[in-house]
Amino acid sequence: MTADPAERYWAAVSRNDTHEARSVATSLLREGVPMPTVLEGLVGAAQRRIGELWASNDWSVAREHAATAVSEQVVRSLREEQARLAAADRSVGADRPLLVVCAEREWHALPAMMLSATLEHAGHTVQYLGADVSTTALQGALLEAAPRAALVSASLSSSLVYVRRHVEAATSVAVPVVVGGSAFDRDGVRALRLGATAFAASAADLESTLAALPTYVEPVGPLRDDAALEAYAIMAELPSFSADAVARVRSDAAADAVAVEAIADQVPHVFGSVAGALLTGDSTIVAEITEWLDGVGRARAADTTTTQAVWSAVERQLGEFPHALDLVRSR
Amino acid sequence: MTEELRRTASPSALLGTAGPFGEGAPAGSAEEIERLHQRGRFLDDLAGVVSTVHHPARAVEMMTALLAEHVVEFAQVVLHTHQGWVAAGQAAGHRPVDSGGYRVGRLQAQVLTELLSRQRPEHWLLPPDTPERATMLASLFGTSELVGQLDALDAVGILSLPLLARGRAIGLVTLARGERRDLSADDVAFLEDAARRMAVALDACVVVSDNRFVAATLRSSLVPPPVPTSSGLDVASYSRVAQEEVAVGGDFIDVHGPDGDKTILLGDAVGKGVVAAIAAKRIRAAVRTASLVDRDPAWVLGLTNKVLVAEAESAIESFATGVCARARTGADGVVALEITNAGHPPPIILRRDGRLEYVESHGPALGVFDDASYTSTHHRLAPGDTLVCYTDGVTEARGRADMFGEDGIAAALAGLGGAPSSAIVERLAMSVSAFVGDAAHDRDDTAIVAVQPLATGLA
Repeated sequence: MTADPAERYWAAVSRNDTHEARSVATSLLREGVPMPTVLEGLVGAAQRRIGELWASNDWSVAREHAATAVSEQVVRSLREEQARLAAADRSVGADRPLLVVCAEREWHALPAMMLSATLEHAGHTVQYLGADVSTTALQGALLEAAPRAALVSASLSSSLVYVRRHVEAATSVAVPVVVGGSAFDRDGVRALRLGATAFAASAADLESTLAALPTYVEPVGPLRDDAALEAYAIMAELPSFSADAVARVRSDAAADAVAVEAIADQVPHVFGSVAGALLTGDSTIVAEITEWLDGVGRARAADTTTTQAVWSAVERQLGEFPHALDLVRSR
Repeated sequence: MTEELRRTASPSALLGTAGPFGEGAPAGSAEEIERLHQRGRFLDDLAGVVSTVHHPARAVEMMTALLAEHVVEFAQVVLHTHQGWVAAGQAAGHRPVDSGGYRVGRLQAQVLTELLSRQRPEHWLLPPDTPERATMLASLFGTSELVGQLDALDAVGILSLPLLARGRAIGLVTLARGERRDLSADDVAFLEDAARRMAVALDACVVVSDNRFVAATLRSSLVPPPVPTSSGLDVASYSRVAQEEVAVGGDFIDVHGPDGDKTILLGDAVGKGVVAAIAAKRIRAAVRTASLVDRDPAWVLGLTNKVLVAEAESAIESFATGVCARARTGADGVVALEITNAGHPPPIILRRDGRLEYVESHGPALGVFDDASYTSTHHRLAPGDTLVCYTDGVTEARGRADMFGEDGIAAALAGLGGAPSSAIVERLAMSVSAFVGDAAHDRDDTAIVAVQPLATGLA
């Protein structure tokens, strides 16, 4: 039991031992270690390792999922534990809640869960709706909870199109929207272009961001420029574009089957990211996804013809979309 | 109680007597032009609030802020709803006292109720620095900060207007001007018109809010209860409804019973939305009741079927499918399962080594045949093995050309043997969602539950 808690936590997560992982984390909290420190030191660190192990092909997607599920259970327990510890000395907040949601089709719930725990640690009332929150579900929560603000988390650039929908939904009822997550650039350019009221660059400056929010905001209407219309059309066709492109990658790529599947799996994400780049007018998204896809290929010993096959299959589907083609060809 | 006492106890007696209205600004003066400009701004902004905000408390707050910003120096709006009073107030240049922290007290509520019942505008002159003034303000604004804000404004008169919608008073707007000015007759005419517009909008907010409350109550009664770790089981579930507008549906999940001997129920009542949710609630209740007598799942579903058939006015109304499993944890950490299937897609056991076994247990659907009988099959879940039950929203999820089906399940669960229940549920839900795409109009209610022996460390 003398081992470093972070190492013990990692050992538990990597063998799917929810019980042990939970016990390492909640004991730290009970010993008085602040929630943000526990989250960053254990959960954040473990998630980075998980991501690296998947990227380097040491872990399968399934193993990555299983380990992440352990961390999710842990954060759930930490929030419950914190609520118990706080119940004794804090009056019940009559404050309007902060609504924390993931974008629709964004299944990376952990960052939003960690955010909820951090906000609760700072004394805010939080309503957390989880992963993959549809615009209709968000609208329902806005009607029922009348939150001070909606906080929308997105980890993948392919979720940016869905972030915009949440921005429109929340501002249509005058509720400010704060966006954040690894789908965004550090400077908040994408957040700004998506019409968010504010951008949460890091947990550290979240308090000042929240304090500066207006009580009410003007509606952010639907985008009607050509690039945005292309983005919406691509998303509407996503299942069929993806299926056709994946079939083409499978027949064209020369690498071994496992590598091809790992890369082909990313095709829907590639289309979604192109749509995100169209919506935000930020071509660095396409550059990032190119680099990332090359990394996935390299770790799986696929030669560059496989990732090249993905891009040419994607290009084929985008024939009717001049703005999208420009982005893809100039990457 | 004497007549005299009753009269002085009447809340409105605390409020003193009405006085006349003052003169407005001279026609054509700069002051009048500015005033008309501000009223125009107010009406524009009010139209914006009315069309965007449908939550009563937020609407009340926004209207209060607009009044205090453009039209008068002080405004309070109170609204009576089934869930209690919603109130907000603000003096120009002061921070708003909003519904987050503003609670209407008992005496204040009495006064407000009486004023509502009168359904007419009231105008009071505020006596300066007297006990009567303090009583009056306390009657209208309770113990809130608004009393101090009004004093700081140096207001001399208060106007109260009922918010009238569909023949009844639903709230009250209370207004004042600052710096020893009172409202003019012209102000009052404008504010009465504004109050009419506000009342119609707030009434609609209350209707929306009441409907949401009904659906939310039903929804929270259908959420599966949390399963404590002391149960010996790791249970995770997912559900997504087809009719998201009402956020309830006919798929249901329930877990109950003592630690070490749990009943897991997953089912699908015919239809979608509220009607299906009520049917789901009834089935859940029947299963819970039957389980108090005997926990054998075949017997439980048999009795539940009889209840549904007996209560149904038509067969189609009570039709449902479901899986009921009894999970008993042994001393060795192995869970013994008895599974009964009533016309439902077969559950799957995902073994720790990744093998998939379909649970071939079959019985007729619920609510159709009075004499239906059920059997159960027996299985063992060792640590790392997982029972996965799902509704046809998973298998019949429609993609571009085909359905998700059992192949979809097998692909989604590949490599997840031994993973925590939540990872299994999430992966399956995610795969279905990606398969369907954005074609939400074809979506069916979807529910998934996964159960495994609670791992205390798998080497």
